[in-house]
Amino acid sequence: MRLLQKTIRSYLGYSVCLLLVTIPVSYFAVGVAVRADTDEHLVATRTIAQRKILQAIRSGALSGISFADQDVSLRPSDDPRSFERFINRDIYDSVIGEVVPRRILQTNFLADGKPYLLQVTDSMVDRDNLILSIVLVQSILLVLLLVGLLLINWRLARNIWNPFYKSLERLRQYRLDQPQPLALDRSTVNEFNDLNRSLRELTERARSTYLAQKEFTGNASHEIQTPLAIFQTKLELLMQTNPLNEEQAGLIGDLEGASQRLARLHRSLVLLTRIDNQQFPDTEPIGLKAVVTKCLASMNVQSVSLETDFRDDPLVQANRSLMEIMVGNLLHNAWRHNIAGGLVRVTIRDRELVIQNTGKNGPLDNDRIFQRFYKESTDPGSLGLGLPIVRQIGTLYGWETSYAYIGGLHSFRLSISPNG
Amino acid sequence: MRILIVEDEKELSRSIVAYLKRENYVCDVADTVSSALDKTDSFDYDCIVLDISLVDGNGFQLLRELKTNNRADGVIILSARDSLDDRVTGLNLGADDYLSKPFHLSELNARIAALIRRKRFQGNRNLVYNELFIDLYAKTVTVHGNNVGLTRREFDLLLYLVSNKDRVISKNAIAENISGDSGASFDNFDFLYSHMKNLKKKLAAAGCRDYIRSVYGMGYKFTS
Repeated sequence: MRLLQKTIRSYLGYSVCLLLVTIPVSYFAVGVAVRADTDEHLVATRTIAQRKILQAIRSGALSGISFADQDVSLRPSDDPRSFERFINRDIYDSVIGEVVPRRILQTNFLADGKPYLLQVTDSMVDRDNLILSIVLVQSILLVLLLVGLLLINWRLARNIWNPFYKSLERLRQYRLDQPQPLALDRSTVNEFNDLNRSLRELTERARSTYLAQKEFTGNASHEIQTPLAIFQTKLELLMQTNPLNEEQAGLIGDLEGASQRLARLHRSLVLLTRIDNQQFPDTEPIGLKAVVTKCLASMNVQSVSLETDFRDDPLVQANRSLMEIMVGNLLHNAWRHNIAGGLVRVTIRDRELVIQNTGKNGPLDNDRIFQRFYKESTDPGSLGLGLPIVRQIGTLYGWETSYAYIGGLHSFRLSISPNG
Repeated sequence: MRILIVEDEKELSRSIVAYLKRENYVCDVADTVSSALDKTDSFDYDCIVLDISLVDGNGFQLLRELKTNNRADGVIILSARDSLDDRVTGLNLGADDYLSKPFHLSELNARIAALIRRKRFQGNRNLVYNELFIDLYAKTVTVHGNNVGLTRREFDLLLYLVSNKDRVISKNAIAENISGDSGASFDNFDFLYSHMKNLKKKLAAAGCRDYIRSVYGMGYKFTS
């Protein structure tokens, strides 16, 4: 739920609650006020009428008294007590043709020893009409309130929250390995500036940690090369010594194999570091078919049956050596993890290179085969860096690399984006 | 033949010297730019093996100096694998060849031999060894005048072996030489074995003596 929706929802809830309370309260309050006013009016009318009655008594013309006001009436009473009371009664009004509520003030009094009942009436506001008008007015108020709040919030979201959404977008696009730091605009709102400052500090810390680690990897692989070179050259000199028996030759051969593995590891790590550091700036248009053909030429084609289907020959904008490493690694895997008398099928269609091979039964762990140093086989020659390098190069150029187990074949797919 | 090795890692320069001495090269060693400059002033070297990263400066400094005197040809650069620009810069400054660490001595030796052949024997582009005649220009091999139809890879393989004759060359060094400096290097020797088998078969069919020996499965040797 967006922030705006959330605030509007709260406002709406509050407004409805408020209305539910204010409608009955207004109703009662207005009712009480109207009744008090009516009562006051009734008392005033009665006072005037009483004054007139007293004059009539003094002049002895009580029986012939009449009132101009229709709402005032005087008649002899049965009740000898003297009292005064207010009552409510619904009376049919012949003029408007409906029953209307009326307020009545009855005053019973004795004049010349005879009881009289003075009755003063006044119409009251129709209760239904009152409720209706109050609800109507309040509803209009609610609508106006909500529209106003919505407009204000929308404006706030657009103006005040704008830097927040901008920062959010920048943060979403931020990558630790990008060369420039996280750039966030200054805002007029202090909270956003605080947030931006914290974000900058956080990304800067993460970035420096990342760079330190990257530098360490780079330095470590760089520093390995000299001792490795010494080791390898000494072994070569050892090979030339005379006499050399079979046992010694075997040991030297083993050492040579190990040093070669170390050299390959070194080479792969250096390559990964260089890709990370984007040290392959030179790109050129390369025919994919030519690269695949060249890489296939260095494979031991006789050991498996090779099927090729080059329907298209897309032009790829990339660094040539990276392209060759990428295709070479994929082909190498197809051969390395194959079975005796197996099959390798290489297909180029549209802008896709698919390399399929027979191998061990069942799919490989899709999540892990592209991870560094994950080894699917126990083959000592396998470093677990071939596919990570493929993926890294793919990521560099925005190409998709994927694996699937289709029809008993391990299929690696490289989808080259149209602009790459 | 005089060779200067500019390398600040003593053990490495000792290894190189030990290997090259057997080719009857005279080897001098310099471990700093200044001592290398002293030496290049005093002698005219046929080949200079130059490490780019030196304690007292950059190997390019020496290369620039040599280039101003038109003596940059004959330089083989040794450099870290992770410095991409070194190769381009070095070759632009007139260096002849480039090798990244770690490297095989047999590879360095073959490169030096090729370089010296180019420099010294410009008219003569052939290598003759008893009945074996290698035309470096046409990349063909003849035995007793009969052409041995070698593939490009087999030719390179034979040349590599001959360049390091009487040395044991490890299988890894040969495999790396065949596959080139691409990232996909070989750990599987089937490819090497099949090329080697074909090469030996073709040479034998042409009437060449069996010079190529396997040494306890450790490597190969071109024996005289």
